[in-house]
Amino acid sequence: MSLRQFGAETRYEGVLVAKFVGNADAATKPTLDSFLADLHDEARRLQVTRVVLDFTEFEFMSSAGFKSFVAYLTTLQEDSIYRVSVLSSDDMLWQRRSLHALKCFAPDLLDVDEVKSTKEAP
Amino acid sequence: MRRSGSSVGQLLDIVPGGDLAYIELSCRPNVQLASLVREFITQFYRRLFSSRNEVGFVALATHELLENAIRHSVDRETTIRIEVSRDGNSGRGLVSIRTWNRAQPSKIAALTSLIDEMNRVSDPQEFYQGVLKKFSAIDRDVGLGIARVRAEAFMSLFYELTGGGESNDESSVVCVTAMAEVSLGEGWYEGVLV
Repeated sequence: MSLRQFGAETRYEGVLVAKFVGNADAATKPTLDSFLADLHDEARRLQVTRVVLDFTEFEFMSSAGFKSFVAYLTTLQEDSIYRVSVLSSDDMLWQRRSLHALKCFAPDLLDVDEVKSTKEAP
Repeated sequence: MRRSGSSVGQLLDIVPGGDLAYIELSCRPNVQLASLVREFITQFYRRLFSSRNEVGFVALATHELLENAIRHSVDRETTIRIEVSRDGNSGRGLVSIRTWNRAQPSKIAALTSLIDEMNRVSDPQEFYQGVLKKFSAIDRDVGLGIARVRAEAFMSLFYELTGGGESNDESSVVCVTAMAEVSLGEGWYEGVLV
C-alpha cells in the first residue's frame, strides 16, 4: 500500500496541458492554489483558447482540492478568456461524480473527456 | 443528546442482529494523515464490497468526514469507526462511518445547521451546486466536504452531540455519521472476513 504524493506540472506543445498526479487534500491545498494561479497567468500570457487538465493519474482529491478548482473556474468565469478540457480516467473512482459536479458548476467553460481503463478486469 | 437524521431508523432496520465487521481508530492526527487512513480503509472496503464504484464513493466519504473532524477538533483528537454489517436474511449490506471530535460551539452550530438544512431538501445535487456557488462567492468554509458526502457518495448524514460544557462557550463532542447500503462481495462469508 503506497500513497502517491501530489504533483502538478505544465507543458506547452501548441496546447497548454496541466497534469496532476497523486493525492490532493487539505495539506496540499496551498500548493494546488499556487499552481492554478500560475497556470492561469501562463494561459493568459500564451493567449491560449483552451487549457487541458490531465487527471488520468490524479488518484484522489478531497473537498479542499475541490475548492481550489472551484476558485479557479470562478476566476475563469470572470475573465472568459479560455475553455478548459478535463481528461479523466475511469480507473480513478472519485472522478466521474466530482467532475460532473464541476461541469454543472461551470457548464460554459468545462468539458470532460473520459479515458477508458486499459487494465484487465480481475 | 441531540440527534438529527430522518432515515437513520430505516437504515438500521436492515440489520437487526446481523453480522458485523468494523474498524475503529483513535488518533491525534494532522490533515496529512487523513489520506493515509483513507488508503488503509479502502483496502478494507475492497475486501468486503462487490462494487468498485461503491468502494470509491465510501472511501471518498471516509476521507471527507475524517478531514472535517481533524480540521475542527479543538484538541486534535479524533476517532473514526467504520462498520460494515450484513442482514442475515436478505444479504444486504450496510456501511456506517462515524467520526467523533471535540469542537467549538460556533463550528458545531455551522455543522449541525448544514446537516439539518441538507436533510430537509429533496434534491441533494441542487443543494450541492448551491454550496459550490456559495463558496465561489464568499471563499470561506461552507461545508463542501459534508455536502459532497451526500451528493457524490449518496450517503445519509446525521449527527449527535454529547459531553457539552457547562457554558455556551465550552466545546462539545460531535459525532457525525454517514450511512449507506452496499453490495457485499465474496470477501464476506458468514460474518467472517475471508
